[in-house]
Amino acid sequence: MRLFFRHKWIGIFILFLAGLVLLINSPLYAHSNKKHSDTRKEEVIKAPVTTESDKTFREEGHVGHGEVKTEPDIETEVKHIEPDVGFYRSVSTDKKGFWYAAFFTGVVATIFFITIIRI
Amino acid sequence: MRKILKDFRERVGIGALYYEVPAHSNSIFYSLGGITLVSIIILFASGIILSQFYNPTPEQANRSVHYIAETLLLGWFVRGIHFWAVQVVTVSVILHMIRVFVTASYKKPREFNWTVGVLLLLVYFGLIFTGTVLKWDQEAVEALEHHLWIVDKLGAIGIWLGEGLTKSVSMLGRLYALHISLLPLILVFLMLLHFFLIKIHGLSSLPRQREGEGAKILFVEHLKRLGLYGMGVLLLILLLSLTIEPPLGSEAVAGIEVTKPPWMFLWLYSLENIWMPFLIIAPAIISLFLFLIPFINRGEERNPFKRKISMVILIISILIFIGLIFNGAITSTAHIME
Repeated sequence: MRLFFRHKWIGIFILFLAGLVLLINSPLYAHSNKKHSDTRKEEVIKAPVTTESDKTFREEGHVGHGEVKTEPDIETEVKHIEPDVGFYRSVSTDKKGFWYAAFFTGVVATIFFITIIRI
Repeated sequence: MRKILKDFRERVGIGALYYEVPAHSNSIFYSLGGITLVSIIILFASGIILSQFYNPTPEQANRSVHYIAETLLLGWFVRGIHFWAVQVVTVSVILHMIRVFVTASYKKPREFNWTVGVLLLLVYFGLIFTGTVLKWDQEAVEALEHHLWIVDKLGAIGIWLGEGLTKSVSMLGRLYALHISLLPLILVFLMLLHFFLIKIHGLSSLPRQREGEGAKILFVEHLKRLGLYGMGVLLLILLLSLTIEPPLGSEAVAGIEVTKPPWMFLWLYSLENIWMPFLIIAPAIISLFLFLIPFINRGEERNPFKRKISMVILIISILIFIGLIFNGAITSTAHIME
C-alpha cells in the first residue's frame, strides 16, 4: 500500500493493469469476441463486379473512381465487417507467439518498475 | 576499460550533451514532445518489420495483412504495436500542441518552430491516412475513394496524387511508396529542424517566469527522464497490443460506403455528412488557422489566466472536436459522392 502511494506511477499502472484484467475477463468482452468470431465464420462477401468498367478497374487494381453510392447496386448482402479482436484469438491461434510476447512485455515491465523504484 | 570509455566519450562528443536546460523540462507536460519521439521510433521499428511481410499489390495486400495478423509468428503482436503506437502518437501530439498553446510557447522567438510543428502534424496525418489504406479492406478502399474524390476536386493541383498521373502503378502501390519513403523522410527532416530550433532558442520558460529564469538541470538528466517515460509508453503499447487487436476486414467491395474512418478522422466524417466539400475546406481552414496563430496572437503575455480569449477559443475548439468525433461515432453515412 505504501508503495502504491509513494510512487504514483506504480499506482496508476496497477490501476491500469487491474482495469485491463477486468476488461478482458468481463462477460461483455468475452461475448463481443465470440460474436465477432461467429460473424466472421458466417461472413460471405461477394464483390459486385457487374459492369465492364468495374471489372477493368478491379483487374487493374484501381478502385475509387469517385462514384460512391449509399446502397450497393446489385443484390449482394454486405455486412459491416467487424474484426476478430484480442486476447482470446491471440492465445488460440499463436500460442507460442503469445507467450513470447507476454514474456517480452514482462521484461519491459520489470525494467520499468525497477527504474521507478530506484528513482 | 576506463581509458577506452573516456576515449570513446571524447571521440563521439557525449560531453556536448552536458548542458543546462530548465528543470521543468522533466515534467510530463513538457516531455510530451519527447514521448511522441519515442513512440515514433517504435512506429518506425515495427513498420520496418511489417514491411518485410507486406505485399503492396491490390491482389495480395489484404491477404498479406491477414497473413501477418493470423499466421506469422508474432505478426499480430508487431502489427498491434504499430497500430497502438499510432494511437499513442496521436494523443501525445495533440496534448503537446495544447500544452504549447496554453503556455504560449509559440510566441517570439519560437513562431517558426510552431509552424514546423504544424507541418509535422500534417505529415503525420498523411502517414495515418496512407497507413489506413494499406490494409486494403473495406475501410481502406473507402478511404482511398475519399482521397480520389478530393484529388479530383482539386483539379490540376491534385493531379500528382490521383489516378490520372499513371496507369502503370496502382494507387495502393503509390500510397505505399509515400507511406514508407517520402512521408517518413519529410517527417524526419522536420523533426530534426524542430529539435534544432529548440536547441537554438532553448526550451520556453514557465508562463509566469521570464526567459532564462528558474532552476536548471543537465540535459542528460532530462534524457534519462525521457527514457523512463518512453519505457512507460512502450509498456502501455505492449500491453494494449497483447490484449486488443487492431481492426482488419476482408477484401473490399468497391462502390459502397459502409465503414467509418479511424477515430482521429471521425470529426471530418461528421462534417462531410453535413456537406461533402467540408472534406477539403475544413482541413484547409484549420491548417491555415494553426499556421497563423503566432502571427495573430503577438502579445507578450504568456500566462494562460491572463489570456482569456485564447483559452476560450481553445476550450470551444476542443469541445467542437469532441462533439464531432462523438457524432461521427454514433451516426452513419448520409452522403453521396459525386
